[in-house]
Amino acid sequence: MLEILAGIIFLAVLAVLALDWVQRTKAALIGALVFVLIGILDLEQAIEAIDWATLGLLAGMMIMVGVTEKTGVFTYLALRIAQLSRGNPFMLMLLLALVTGVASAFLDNLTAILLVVPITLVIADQLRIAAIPLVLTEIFASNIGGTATLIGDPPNILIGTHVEELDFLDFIINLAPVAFFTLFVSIGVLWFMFRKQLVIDPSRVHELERIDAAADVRGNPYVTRSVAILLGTVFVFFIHSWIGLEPAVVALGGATILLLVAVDDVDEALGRVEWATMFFFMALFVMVGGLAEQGIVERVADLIVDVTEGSETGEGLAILWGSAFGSALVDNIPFTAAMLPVVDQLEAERGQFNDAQWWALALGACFGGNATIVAAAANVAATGVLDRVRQPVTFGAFLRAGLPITVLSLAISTAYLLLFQF
Amino acid sequence: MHELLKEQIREGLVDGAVLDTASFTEAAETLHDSTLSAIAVITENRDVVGMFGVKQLLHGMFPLYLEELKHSAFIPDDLPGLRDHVAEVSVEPVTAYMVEPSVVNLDSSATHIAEQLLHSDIRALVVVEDGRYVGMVGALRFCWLVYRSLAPPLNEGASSD
Repeated sequence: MLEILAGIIFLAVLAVLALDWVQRTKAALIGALVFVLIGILDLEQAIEAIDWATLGLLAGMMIMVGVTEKTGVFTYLALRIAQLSRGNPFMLMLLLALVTGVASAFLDNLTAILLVVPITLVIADQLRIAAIPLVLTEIFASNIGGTATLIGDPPNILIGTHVEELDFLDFIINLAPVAFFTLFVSIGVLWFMFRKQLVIDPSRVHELERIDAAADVRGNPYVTRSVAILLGTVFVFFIHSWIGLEPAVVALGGATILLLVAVDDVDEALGRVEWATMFFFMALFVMVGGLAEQGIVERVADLIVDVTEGSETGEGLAILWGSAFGSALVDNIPFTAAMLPVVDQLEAERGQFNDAQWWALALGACFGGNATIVAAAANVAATGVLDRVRQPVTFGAFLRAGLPITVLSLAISTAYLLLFQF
Repeated sequence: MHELLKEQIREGLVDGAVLDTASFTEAAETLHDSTLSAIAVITENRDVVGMFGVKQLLHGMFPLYLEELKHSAFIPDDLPGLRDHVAEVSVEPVTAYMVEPSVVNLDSSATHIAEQLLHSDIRALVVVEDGRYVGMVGALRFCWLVYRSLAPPLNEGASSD
């Protein structure tokens, strides 16, 4: 009975998330509360189910990025890179997408998109071109670029902190090439879609050059320290498994050093932690823990084995396309959280570790995040900005661009997994 | 004492309102002439439907993305762009820019009004009686009138020295 109830409640929460009926943290917290109240798992099991390493990694990165962002250095970088386009619309789209993609890989894609979109609105206004094509391209670039690293996108953070065998470098080696190849191909397709909306009047080009990119960083005493600590932390991520540090320790260590040397107001810096996101993750972990406790995870894993007749390649492709479909419908964070124990179970049944299944999950969940407006936090945040500046993007308009990009990305991922991973 | 404060509040009421059919320009003019930081937007029946303040004026005059930016020193002035923008906005209805009103009753205590002003970004409140608009209370005028009624006369303070 509890097993059926757990499944129904979890699906109901996913449905609420997909339909955007209530704010996602509220929906997840209600689901987790009901799980505990009706005894799907007790309080002790609920607390054990929470992956504190994931929360530590998230909190550390939120503090570091928040503090560094305040110095204006990201604004400077985005503007300087946009100025390199010299008013060529294709180059502008390419460079903005690349800066978003790279920033998403090494900061996190939600932060990256919220940094780049307002600057894009300024640039589009100065050049008198439509901002929406550029912002949509940036959203897709942020989800694709975030796929490249362990810290780039929430699904990867979940996978990276859950699977001990995978370190930061493994993500870069196995995901960065396919992510950036996909990014370049996607930019080509998006340019073809949007090129008519991005014609720049030559008389406006000098407006881009007039922008004083360094105006906000000039004289800020914390720029050098903040950037040095952020870059140092990224470097330590690269070598974290060699020196025996967990990613969460690296992120929290970087944040602590930053608080010590580059922050005057600790309360304000800690205010950069998005508590709604943290509680969303906690509630998801509790629900997924409940699903595992009730044997639902095992059933889903068995179903995948049955459908794919035990073929590892078949399982991998089912995970890739299934997680993309699931992420497109709901939100890639809960979907990935639910899939972690399923992939664990598949491994347990097979009796051996195969990292390819995890790359399939990462690619599916991250790339699936591009399909619909609700599929990833970056999409919701960026289109929210567009709404506030009265340039709304409808569900259909997003889908018309997002779906082809998602199918294209998954086709590239399928080829990549078949050629290099299975 | 209570009645004294109430009298000050009534005395401090300022008429600052536009009809909900007003344009952005009409609202901006009324706001400027009122010297308040916000005015009420009301129906013909004097029902309060919104508030239009300095922030809404800025929203209309300048690009909306300004509020999304964390840094803006890099942006140059774009006078032709701003002129076009203001020309478009000027004929839009005030209802497109107004925000939820902060309302107090005419018989509210001065302490309640003070608390409302402290917690309001707008620093002005719409005052209603039986649900209908009767005037606006601005933070500075309210503070001064209440302060003047409570503080000892200046010459009294001087004589005690």
